[in-house]
Amino acid sequence: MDLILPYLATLVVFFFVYNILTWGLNIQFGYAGVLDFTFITFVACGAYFAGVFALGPGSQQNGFEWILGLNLPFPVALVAGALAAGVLGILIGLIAINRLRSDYMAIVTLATGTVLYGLVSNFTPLFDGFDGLAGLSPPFAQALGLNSNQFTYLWVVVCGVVMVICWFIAQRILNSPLGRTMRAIREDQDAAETFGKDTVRVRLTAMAMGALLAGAGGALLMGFIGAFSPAGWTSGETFVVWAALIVGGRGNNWGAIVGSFVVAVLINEATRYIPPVSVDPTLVPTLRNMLIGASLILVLWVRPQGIIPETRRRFLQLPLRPGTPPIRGAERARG
Amino acid sequence: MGLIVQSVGFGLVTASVLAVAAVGLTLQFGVTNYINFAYGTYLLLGAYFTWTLSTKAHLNFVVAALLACLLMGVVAVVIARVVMQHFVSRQAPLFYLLIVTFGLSLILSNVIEAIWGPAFQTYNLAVGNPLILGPFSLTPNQIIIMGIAVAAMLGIHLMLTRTVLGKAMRAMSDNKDLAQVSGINTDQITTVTWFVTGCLAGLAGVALTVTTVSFGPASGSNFLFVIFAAVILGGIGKPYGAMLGAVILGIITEVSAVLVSAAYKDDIAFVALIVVLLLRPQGLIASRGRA
Amino acid sequence: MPVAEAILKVDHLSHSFGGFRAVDDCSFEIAAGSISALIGPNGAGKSTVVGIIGGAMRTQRGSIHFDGRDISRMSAFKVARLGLLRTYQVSREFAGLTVMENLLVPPPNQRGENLLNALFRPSVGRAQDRELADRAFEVLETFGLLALRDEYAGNLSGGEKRLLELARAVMAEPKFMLLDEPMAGINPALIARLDGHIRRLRDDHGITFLLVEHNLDVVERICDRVVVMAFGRTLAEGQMSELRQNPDVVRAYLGGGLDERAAG
Repeated sequence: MDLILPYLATLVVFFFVYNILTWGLNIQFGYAGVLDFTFITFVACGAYFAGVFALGPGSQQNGFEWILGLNLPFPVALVAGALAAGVLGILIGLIAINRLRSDYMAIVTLATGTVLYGLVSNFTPLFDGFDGLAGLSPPFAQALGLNSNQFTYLWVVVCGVVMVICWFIAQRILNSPLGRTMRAIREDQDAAETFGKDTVRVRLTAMAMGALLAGAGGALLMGFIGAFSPAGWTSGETFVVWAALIVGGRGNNWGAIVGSFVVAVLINEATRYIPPVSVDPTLVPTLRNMLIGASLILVLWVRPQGIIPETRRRFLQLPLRPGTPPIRGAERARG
Repeated sequence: MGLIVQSVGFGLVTASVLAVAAVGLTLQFGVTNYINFAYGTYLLLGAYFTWTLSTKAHLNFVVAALLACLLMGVVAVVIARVVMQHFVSRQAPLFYLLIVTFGLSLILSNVIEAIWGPAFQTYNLAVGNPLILGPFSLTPNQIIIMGIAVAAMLGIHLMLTRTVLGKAMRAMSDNKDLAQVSGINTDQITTVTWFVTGCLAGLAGVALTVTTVSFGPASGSNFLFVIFAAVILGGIGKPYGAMLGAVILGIITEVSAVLVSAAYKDDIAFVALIVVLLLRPQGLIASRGRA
Repeated sequence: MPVAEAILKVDHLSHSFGGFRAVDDCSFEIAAGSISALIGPNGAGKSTVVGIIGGAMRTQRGSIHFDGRDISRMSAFKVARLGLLRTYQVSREFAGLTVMENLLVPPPNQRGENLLNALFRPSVGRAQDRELADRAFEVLETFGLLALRDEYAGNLSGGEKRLLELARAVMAEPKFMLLDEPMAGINPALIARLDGHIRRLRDDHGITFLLVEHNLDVVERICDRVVVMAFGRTLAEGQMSELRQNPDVVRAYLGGGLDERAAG
């Protein structure tokens, strides 16, 4: 019991965080059709900024150097990380999103991510380069006098609270006229433009809000692990979130939950606990990555709408004026 | 000054590799109308095939490289017929194919790691003493790479202008529907295009890894968007534009490596990509549009 | 040829693709409240003119004024916000949205599109949506699409999609509608219905129409004035019945050779 519970709690933490991440990508891609192939960069941005807000100042003498180092309480750092990622989302969006070609979005996001990865890894004064940030003591643990297992349980609660807030953000956008306009732009950007929709602005909003959620997720990871380095920020991680969204079903946030459970918990996190094969320690992660890539393609192949498809919004409930003809559409829809 | 002139020489070597890769990508992009995000792993796969054939099967390096290129062509065709064709024939939205090739890049790079391991590999090639060629000092391998690239580009040029196949490819690149009603077997041309693009990817992969000397499963991931930059700079689907874009980018990145720092080579290529996207998204060579 | 109360003025418009001059010094005016047509053989440059007016292509030379304002260098969504609405040759419905949602997207000034309202005051968007839904019900009813309101737009038949496009456009409350081949590929019975809708919208809502149309019978039946384009410029203007007698127009249409010249 002493082993199982903390282990399950750890999985729950990852499940909650990946829910947040998948909703973030859902806002960007599922709602607004933005092909963000560097989603993990926003997660990293959130983690790094939360880190440098919560950590003390780095010093070159100790071999650690990073910007800021403000020693602020974790909730402040979390908000800072989310906001920083949101701003980065706008900046990358400004380059990537245009009215010309949708494949440019994919190319530019991928390229920006690669360059930022190189920059952060090589330029040590920023976030200590390849070594990354480390040494963040578990937030609240000391004040509350928690041991490491108790901290894990606490983190389940913290992640749960943030997750509920993120759920409301994602759902409110989806069910608002803004969400409808985002989905219209996803379907046909030019047509939305001819109705006077500033499609670039709306997509930038989606980019920023998605990145905001990514940043919040990153900050939660930072608080949980206490460290973050470029090693946790490879493009393979972007695939995990993409696969979760595509497998679960995009355009609705329930699908994202299913996807994040299947891909991020069952495939991704659970396989981390399989003992590495003695002959080749890299074999398990390699197989896991192949499995994630394959699940992405396979779902698009057999069930492109994902496990839970986008919900159809019905207007049957509205009070109909007298003389409204019977509903033909409902029968057609089933066929 | 001498360093800058010398870096132009290196720039021409990089440009040669880049040109082969960019022409391969842009040909396929033009004909199929979607970008292949797994292209970087195609390069790498070509390099590993060559490595296995030359160091494990003890073939002559040139023979090994040639075989690896042809093998890459076959691999590219098989992947296109088995995976991509499914989505193309169902007229799936563009983003399906982008995600599928994105997913393929993850699968392939992990297949590479599973087969060849995470360690870095090197070819059994003598580096040779640098030769002085005018103002440039280049190794024999670099000179051979430039020669092969020029020959490959000449071959592509002849194929595009002199053969029925090449003309059909250009026609499809301009307007697929029109090509189809003009009686071009678009299915067949697409398959051949994938073969050519695979061969060129293999060739570029070998050339790239010969210039970098050692390579691992993650090599070439940065190179992919330098290729994108060359393709977009030249205008998507335009092989001659891609060659021009490759020469410009090759020289810019190598000269900037001397002027600024070698660590920021990729960033310079990225800046070039962004500038092109913002200022001239249709590429340097303007396209002939439709009325 | 200047017209009284022109709502749209195209002045000396030229546009080239590479070396090919698709539009060559083209000028015409469209009277407010009219139903006009832009006709011409394939490759005459009609689609290019439509693209430039709608803001999808950048003006290279010449100018376009709409409702007294220079829209030559405006992007598409800004042109649309002035009340100029264009449709496309192929139906561009929002396939993954229901018919009803397709109608709720176009209305301008939706307060629920504001991010802060969406996040913190969802009731604002919901209240406006209720009003818009009422209007959408009426519009759907007049277009005979009410029964299909919860169907995905992508599942409609070709003709239903055409009707949906028009219904959707009405929701945007435009002053001017630029319809690019609205009758292409639909059956004669539906053409008659679309005719009626266009005329009714002009009469009841005062919307000005400019149709790019190949079906000259339709043009003759509903259009007050016709602009003929050939070789990228305005060849003639007037009523369809007059133009049928115009030797230049007849030659442009029957002269052959033109279609081979056309770039598509």
